[in-house]
Amino acid sequence: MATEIIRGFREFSGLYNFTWGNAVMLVVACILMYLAIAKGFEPMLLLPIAFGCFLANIPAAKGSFYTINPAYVRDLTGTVKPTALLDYFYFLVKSEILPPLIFLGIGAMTDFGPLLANPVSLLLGASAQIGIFIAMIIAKSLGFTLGQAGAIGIIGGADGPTAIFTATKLAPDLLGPIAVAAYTYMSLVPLIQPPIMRLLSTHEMRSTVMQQLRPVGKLERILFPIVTTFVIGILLPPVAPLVGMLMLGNLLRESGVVDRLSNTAANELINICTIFLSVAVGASMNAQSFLNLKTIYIIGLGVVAFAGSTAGGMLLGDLMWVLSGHRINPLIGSAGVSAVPMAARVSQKVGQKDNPANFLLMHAMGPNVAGVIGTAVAAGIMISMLGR
Amino acid sequence: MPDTIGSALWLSLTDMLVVFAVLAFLMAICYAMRFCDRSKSDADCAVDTKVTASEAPQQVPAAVPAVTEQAVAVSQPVSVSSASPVVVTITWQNGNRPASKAS
Repeated sequence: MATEIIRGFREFSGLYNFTWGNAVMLVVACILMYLAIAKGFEPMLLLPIAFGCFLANIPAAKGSFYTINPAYVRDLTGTVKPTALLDYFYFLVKSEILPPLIFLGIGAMTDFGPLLANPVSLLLGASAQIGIFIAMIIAKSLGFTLGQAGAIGIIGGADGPTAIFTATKLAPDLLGPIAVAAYTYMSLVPLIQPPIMRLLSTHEMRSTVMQQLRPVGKLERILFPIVTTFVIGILLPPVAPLVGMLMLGNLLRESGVVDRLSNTAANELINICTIFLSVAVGASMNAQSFLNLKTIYIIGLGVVAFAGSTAGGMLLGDLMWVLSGHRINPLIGSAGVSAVPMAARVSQKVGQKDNPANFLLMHAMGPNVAGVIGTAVAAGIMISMLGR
Repeated sequence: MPDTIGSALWLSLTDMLVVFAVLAFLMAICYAMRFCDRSKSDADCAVDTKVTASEAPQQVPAAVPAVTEQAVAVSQPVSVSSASPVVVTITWQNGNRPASKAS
């Protein structure tokens, strides 16, 4: 009797299912939590991701509340039966609800003023997408399908919602690893970018002080989201939900007549969505589906994509430094890899190390928000060409 | 589209060019909006200047004597050197600082 009770408890508690893979992932989760709490690496994202990973790797018995079963959330039109708490979170990710809502919040938080004051930033945002294509070609040569390679490449845009949105369309089976790679690297931007930035610039370049940006009129601020939505919506319909929500959020902010809506989008809404998204992404890192060769490839390709995009932005920044007669600091080019506003903060931090009187944050915000648009455009083209 | 590395290369190249083209187009739109906004601002400024020019004689001089009457005296001539910090000593007449409306 006692033996049966002990056996029943062991099987019910999940100890029976404990694997070395769970142990590895629990250690990974603890390292990520350490980086978020002790080192302050984008804790808003990294902490819930890490805890989601922690939850998913507590060995689960049948009927656990913490196990994501992709079979339950495969199709909106089919049988949809999420059975556990995190299934519901994951459903919101997979059904493309959370990424556009997060873009709505980002739009409401983002000031497009620096971009409008210095429209050349848009080119820096375009050049910082090069990593997407480098990673895509390497992924294809490693044996991924073209759709999967495209979805993996989008990690290089350093834009979590866009990466998830693209993965759901082109490579739903790789959604978990792609989302994890995108969000983990976004939070590790302060570690990944600085060495590349220093490698591709001289002390003189990094010390360049930029002129103060011109003030931007209200008309420009209001017209920009409307015009951009129209242009991208008509050219690239697949990403209209993302860009449309981004620009709606920005229009709420800039119109100045719906402060309550703008504040809700920029605070409560995006915070709630971030909690759901990050925990769901972290929970997709369970040992059974995460510890395999494809995931390791995706994680590796994510670094290549990030590094490539940073280098692309820096190289065009270097060119602009020369062409502008040393008036543009090339460090703002690296901020073209979306990751708003972490990448801009990194530009500011690296710039101040070389010249404490240098204030690049607002200048870097231009390429930073241009990168968001650039990544969405790149994703839209891929979905248009591969998503049929 | 065939699932080959050649297709990946072609798609990458096309995608990159389109990204540059779309963002360059948006850049052109930004410059156009800037031009329109500046034209509008200039027009507003022109109107403002006319108004200010007609109203200025009654308003501006009335405020200026209020400052000069408080007669601020600098104790010594100020010399500026890049090698040393500049220290300026200001002494108010009768030891009283002018009223805040003068600042």
